[in-house]
Amino acid sequence: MTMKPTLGGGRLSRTSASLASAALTVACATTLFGCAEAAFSVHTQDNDLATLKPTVERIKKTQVSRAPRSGTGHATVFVSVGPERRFGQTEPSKSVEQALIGYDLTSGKELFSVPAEVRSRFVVSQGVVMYREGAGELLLRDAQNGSVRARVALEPGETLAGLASDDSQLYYVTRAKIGGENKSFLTALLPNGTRVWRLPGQGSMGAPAAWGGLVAVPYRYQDVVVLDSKSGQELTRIRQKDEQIGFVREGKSGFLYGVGASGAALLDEKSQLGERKTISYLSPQLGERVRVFMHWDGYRAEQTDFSAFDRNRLLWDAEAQGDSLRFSDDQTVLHSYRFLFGMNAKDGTVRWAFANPRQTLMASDLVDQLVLYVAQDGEIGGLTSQAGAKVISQRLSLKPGQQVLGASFDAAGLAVPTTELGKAEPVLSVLRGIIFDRDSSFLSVKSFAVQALGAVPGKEAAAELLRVITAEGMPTEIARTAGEVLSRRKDDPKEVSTLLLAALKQSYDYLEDKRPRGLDVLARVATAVSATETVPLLAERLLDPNTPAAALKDVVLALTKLGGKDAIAPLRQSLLLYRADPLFASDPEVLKRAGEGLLAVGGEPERRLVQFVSMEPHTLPGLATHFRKVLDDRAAPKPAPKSPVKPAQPR
Amino acid sequence: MMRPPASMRTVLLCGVTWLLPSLGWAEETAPAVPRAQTGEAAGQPVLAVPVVDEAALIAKLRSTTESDAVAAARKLAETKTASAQAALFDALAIGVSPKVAAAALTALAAQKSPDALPILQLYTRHRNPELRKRATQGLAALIVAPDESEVAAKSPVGKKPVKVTTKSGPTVPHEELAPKVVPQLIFALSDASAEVRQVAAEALGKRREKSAEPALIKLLLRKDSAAPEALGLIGGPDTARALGEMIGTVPNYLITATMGALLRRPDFGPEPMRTEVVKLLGKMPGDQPVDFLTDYVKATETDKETKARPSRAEAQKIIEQRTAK
Repeated sequence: MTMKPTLGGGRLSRTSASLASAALTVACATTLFGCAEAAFSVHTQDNDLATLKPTVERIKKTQVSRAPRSGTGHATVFVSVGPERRFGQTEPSKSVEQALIGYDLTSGKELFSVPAEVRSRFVVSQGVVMYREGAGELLLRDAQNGSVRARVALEPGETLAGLASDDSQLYYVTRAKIGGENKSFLTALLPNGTRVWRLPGQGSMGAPAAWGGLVAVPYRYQDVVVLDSKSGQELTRIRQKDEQIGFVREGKSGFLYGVGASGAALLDEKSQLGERKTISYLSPQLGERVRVFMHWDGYRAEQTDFSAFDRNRLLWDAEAQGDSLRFSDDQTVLHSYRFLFGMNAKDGTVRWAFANPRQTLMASDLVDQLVLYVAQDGEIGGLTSQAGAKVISQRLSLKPGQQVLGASFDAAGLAVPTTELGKAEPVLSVLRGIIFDRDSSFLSVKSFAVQALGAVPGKEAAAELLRVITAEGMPTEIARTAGEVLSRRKDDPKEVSTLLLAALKQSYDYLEDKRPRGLDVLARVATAVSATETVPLLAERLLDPNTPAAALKDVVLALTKLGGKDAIAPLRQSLLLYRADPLFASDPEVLKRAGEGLLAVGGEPERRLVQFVSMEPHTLPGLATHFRKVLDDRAAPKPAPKSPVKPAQPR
Repeated sequence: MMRPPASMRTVLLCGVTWLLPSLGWAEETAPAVPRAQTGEAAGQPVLAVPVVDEAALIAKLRSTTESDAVAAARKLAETKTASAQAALFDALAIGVSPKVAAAALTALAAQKSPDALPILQLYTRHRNPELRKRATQGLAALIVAPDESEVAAKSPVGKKPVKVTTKSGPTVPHEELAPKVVPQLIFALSDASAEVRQVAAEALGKRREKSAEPALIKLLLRKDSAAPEALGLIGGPDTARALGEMIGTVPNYLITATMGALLRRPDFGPEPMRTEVVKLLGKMPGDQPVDFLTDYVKATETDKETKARPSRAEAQKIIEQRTAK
């Protein structure tokens, strides 16, 4: 069904709207779609259960076929290739051909390779693949041979904000500034390029999503507008009151929309409540230092094209379970450059990990029980989503200098091959490989891998964390994270102590070219796990001239906490030896802590020693002042607890 | 200056005995000088005799003026009395500025007292490399014969060698401390400071401390210039063989210097090994090997027996060949 777009419709003033309310009520009652307001009208009631409920019912009843949208029955991947794009490079190298390659995953054959200046991801519908070509044109090519079926020019001044498709139509959103105002347009096309409808909206629309005869569009940063895909009629609109809605995407159970920076919700009846705590909301558990990228930002036009966001994202689907929303199979897959991690969505542990040797994975997708990817060198791979075993490995034939720039999959229903090409490597081994990879540009992935080690059971994982702490050249941040993770693990304390003892024995040795590393972190871990066995070694490290000055404070604190009376001798020795040393003049913190430690664990002799240090004229002035204050504070009588005020006795 | 409270005296009794901040206090604890010694008792005027006022020096050691304290430490080294030594120990034990500590350590090294061992050991682990060096020198002084230890300034590698002393030289001050000090000196070869390593290597070399040979070989492999002279004094045939294997991994000048030092030793041998070393030296580039070979030829020309050595003939042959070129 083709419908004329309602250009400029719905610009009613509040007065006229109220005057016409009676008429509207009649209109609403007579229309199948609940409301006669034009789509994207600023007057449309949001979070209205009267319109939301029928839409949700329709979603629930819809059966979406799990088959490729191309209609051929074959899973396909469309790959953009060309010269490597370097940071800051605006124009691609002319000597290497830019092309679009269609590859049939079902039969393992390359379908076509045509020169193309691809500037967006691909969407597929009924034998057609659509993408943005060049600056201002959408190109519709035959999905089997790459021939051009239609060209759709974007209106002058309009910017592409997103593409979507279902099994019968293609959709795109454009934005423009008209008369100083932000305007957006949602357009539906048939696979032959004929425009079905075009809907304007005031303000910003985000990238659309299409599912089961419906189109959903994030609108004005807080709304999701759901429309009938055939008519363009707005069916319902929800508004999130407490967070921004950044994207809409299709899922197994309908539409999912982004809530805030790191969460998503299912479009259902609870959506009308509009608050995070009351809607069907979920957020992945990935650890503290992982930036969660759940979907491309629907409002950022540059994210319609392939970019680093395609290589750093979470692959997931979600479905309703009773009253709540959960990740499908309780699993998400984290893609970060060369690495894929199968994550237990319930507790954030890593179920499996995959590190592609050398080549970055330029695109990935979660298709039923498969994780598909295309690597920079043209390898098309597939892993089982539950175990991470490799089951697909095919290869594109790239011309010299060509690299994969990005890819989109149309692979719904692709069967999982029964033959495993390779068993998934043990998680510990992959994580170790990531952490100790010489490429230092993956700091966040390394940090993530260290955190993931925290959930890997066994002594080996704890030993690996110790190795991270003491490794040469390991970034401080990673070593610190490893310490925190090790402190939180529930290992056998004796095992951890044994590991700590071995690690704390390390000292500088010129002959062996060894130097101590991570002593501060080790001391903190020893404190956290109450490893009292480490006291003698901590004392040794405190008095070791090669212990880095930066680590001394943590060593002193650990000794004070764990050492008891055994800590007195090393603390006293270091305090006396360095109390007059200008080396500590600018930062006497270590000596302050040593003195305080003596006061904490010692008795009267230690108090007198600190008093002597505070008054002896050779003592560093800052240190002497500090100890005088500390001693004064200790000497001052503690204020007596206030007795409850008795009510005045009547005379 | 603020006078510490009386409670501080208790601290003094708790093991730290040098806590008195004023001269007055120091006088109280200074060793009593017999009145008769000064002549005061006889009612005669005091003569201007050069008597060191130890109490004043001990007091000065605690001066807040660093130069005064340093000067006092130097002078206390000369007095060599028990109270002077105790004052130095105490100063180091309760902490003084690095300059004063350095002077005190040097003073203790000069006194060569076995009682200084604990405080010297403490300062070999000080964060200040200069103090570690002085403490190591102090340790070395305890177990190295005096005239040997006084040869502090080493000739640069490859230059004219220092006088080689034999085991029959002057007596070692405290040989009984060797089991404690030698491991410390070997440990000091791993120190971060090149100067500390140098001091330790010298001391071990002078003692011909065979147990230090593996560590000195490691030191040579680390291309440390402290190793050749010491290794030359200690090494035997195994060292010579190891040197041959180091060619290409260790700079030639260090290997040459080590071999030169080995050849200087009258006890190095047997003769076939000496010849091997001479041949190896002949293969090393530069003038340095020729100098060493010339020294060897000269050193062996006085004695009939040594003059007849095949290694000497080999050395002469090499010198002739290389100088002819």
